[in-house]
Amino acid sequence: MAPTHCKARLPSSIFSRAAVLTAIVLLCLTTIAPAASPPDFKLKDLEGDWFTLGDHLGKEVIYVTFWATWCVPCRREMPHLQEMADDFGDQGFLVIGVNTDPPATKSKIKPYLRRIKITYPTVLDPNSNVLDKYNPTRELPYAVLIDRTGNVHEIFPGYRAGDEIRLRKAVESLLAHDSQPGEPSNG
Amino acid sequence: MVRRWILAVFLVLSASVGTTQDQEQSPTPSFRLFGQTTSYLELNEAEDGNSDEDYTKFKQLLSFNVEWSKWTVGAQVEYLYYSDPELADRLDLDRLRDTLELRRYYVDYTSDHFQGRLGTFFSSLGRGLTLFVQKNEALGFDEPIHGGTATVTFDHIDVTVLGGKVTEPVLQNQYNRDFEDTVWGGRILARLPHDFYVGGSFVHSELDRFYPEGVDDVDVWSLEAGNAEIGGVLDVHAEWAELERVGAFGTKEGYGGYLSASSYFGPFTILGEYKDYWNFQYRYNSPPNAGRAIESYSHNDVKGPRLIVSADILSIGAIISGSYGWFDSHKKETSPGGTGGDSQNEWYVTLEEIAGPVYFLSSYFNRNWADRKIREEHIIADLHLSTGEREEFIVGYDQRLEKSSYFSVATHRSYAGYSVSPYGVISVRYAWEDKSGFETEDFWGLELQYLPKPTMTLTLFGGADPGGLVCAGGQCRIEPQFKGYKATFSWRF
Repeated sequence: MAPTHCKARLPSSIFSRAAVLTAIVLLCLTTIAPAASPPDFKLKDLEGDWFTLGDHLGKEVIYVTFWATWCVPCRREMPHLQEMADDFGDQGFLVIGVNTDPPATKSKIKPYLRRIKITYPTVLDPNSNVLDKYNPTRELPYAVLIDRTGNVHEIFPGYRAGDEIRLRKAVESLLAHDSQPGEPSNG
Repeated sequence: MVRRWILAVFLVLSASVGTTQDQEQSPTPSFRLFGQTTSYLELNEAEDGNSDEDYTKFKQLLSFNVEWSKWTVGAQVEYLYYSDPELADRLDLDRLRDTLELRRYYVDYTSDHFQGRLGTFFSSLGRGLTLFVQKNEALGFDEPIHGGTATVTFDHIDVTVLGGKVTEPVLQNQYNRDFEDTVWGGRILARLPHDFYVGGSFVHSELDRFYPEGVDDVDVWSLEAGNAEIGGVLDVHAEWAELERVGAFGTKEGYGGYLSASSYFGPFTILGEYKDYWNFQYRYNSPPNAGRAIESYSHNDVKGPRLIVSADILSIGAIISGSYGWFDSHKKETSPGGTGGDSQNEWYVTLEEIAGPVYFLSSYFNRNWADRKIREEHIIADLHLSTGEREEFIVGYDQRLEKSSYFSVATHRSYAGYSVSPYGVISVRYAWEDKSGFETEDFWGLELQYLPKPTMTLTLFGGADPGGLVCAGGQCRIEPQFKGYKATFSWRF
């Protein structure tokens, strides 16, 4: 039977294995630079129309937030995001909700958004292949704030009460002062 | 002593990664590179205090993606170490993996009319009726399809094809060997005027049989139609699927029908569904279900409707929801001489307050299997009280009960914590398990989640956890009991 995984064996000694692993990690850390731009994606919205993040990069301040109907911290964060979308939408702030509910529970998404009065755009990542690029361990919510140059300004993993204050200040700052292209991100 | 050394090395590495990032001031690269490293350490202590049965588990994940123009290349490497693999819990889904594995690898191309990927990927077709291969982080399900997929978009038509090898995580763990299956298929979806859509999907799979040795061939197809927004207030989806399995004991046929409709008026939202699944579950499908994602559902033989009504009462962000479903099986129709059926009534009510300084969730779930004489209950209460602009106090309680004429099992979990944004949460957990005929078992735990930076998360846990049935995202598994220490460090770059 053909194997379904690419597998490799390491030297038997735990110390040798640890050394190889540490070398791999350190090599990666020393040769890479932090991501400047977020991964682009093309997903369908609730009406079946395509949405491409790249069409908006460099034009608006964007908050891409991954969520699911069963995720309590996501549900707590969403009313705050709607408030910010209402307050700053006309200044060029765009919130994109990326829903990661599996197809089996897709029927719940629209009723839930109606229930809590969410009107900012929502796109669907039913197989979480986009979330997998942004956050391979897939904790929810997970969000990135992107400045007007199209670079990641800050990452927001999880949600704790009060995180919305930090986000609001960051958005106000980005809207007031356009970031310079190539500015190092702290995300 | 070795365990302490491993813990020390783990913490030093965590700190050094943070320092490394502080010092990085690299210029913007011409390509984009992003990824994550996660280190996970588990020090397991034996239930009976016999230190000879203690063992250590260490897992290191390195994921990265490089994006250049319309291309993305990604990989994830996993290093896994057990100090004594023989002692690993049988319910631990990692225990059969190799020491070093390439868990993800892919080349991805996206353009206006084409999306393609070679390598590993997750996919679903027909809302899960014909195919459902997903990662579920909360349950540890992480077995992608190894192959390729492509979607071509014409003006109003999307065509998707896919194929590859896949394995089912729970089954392979249960039978102590790999199950290497093949799936291939596709989906076509046409968008019609006025938001109507119509389409269909087909999947052929070859399933490695556990007994007798061989392969089962499963063919499943579905037709679907619906409208995303009729008159601005009604969302409808209907799907019909048929399945044929050719195995060692002949050919078996089944079907699955699903209808859902949702609407709203004033403060009310309504969601109704009707499902009729007969002989329909196979290794790689998970049909639609509007029930709670934190409960277990079987999709092989069930039929009946469900209605969910929700409202934002008083327009202050307090959402009240009620759901009622009544289901039966096909036993009366298919069993020789008929049976009493397998009826179940399921209902739940939830009150959730999501606005303002108090977050409150309380929920009661009840499922009554009249013919089996089994009752299930699930109670949830979760309160978050702001004690400052960035701080809150958290208390919660969760109880699962399963009761029949012969036995009852109740698992209680409670927790109290303090959260400070953006730094993290510290919480104390206390759980206890009541099984009929056994003494009550207690489980204490202390957890600290600390975010030194938004890109880094350190989680430490010490104590015990009862395990048991855990459900997330509509999937469930039995988790093993745990006693000992856990540490996780993630860094996103």
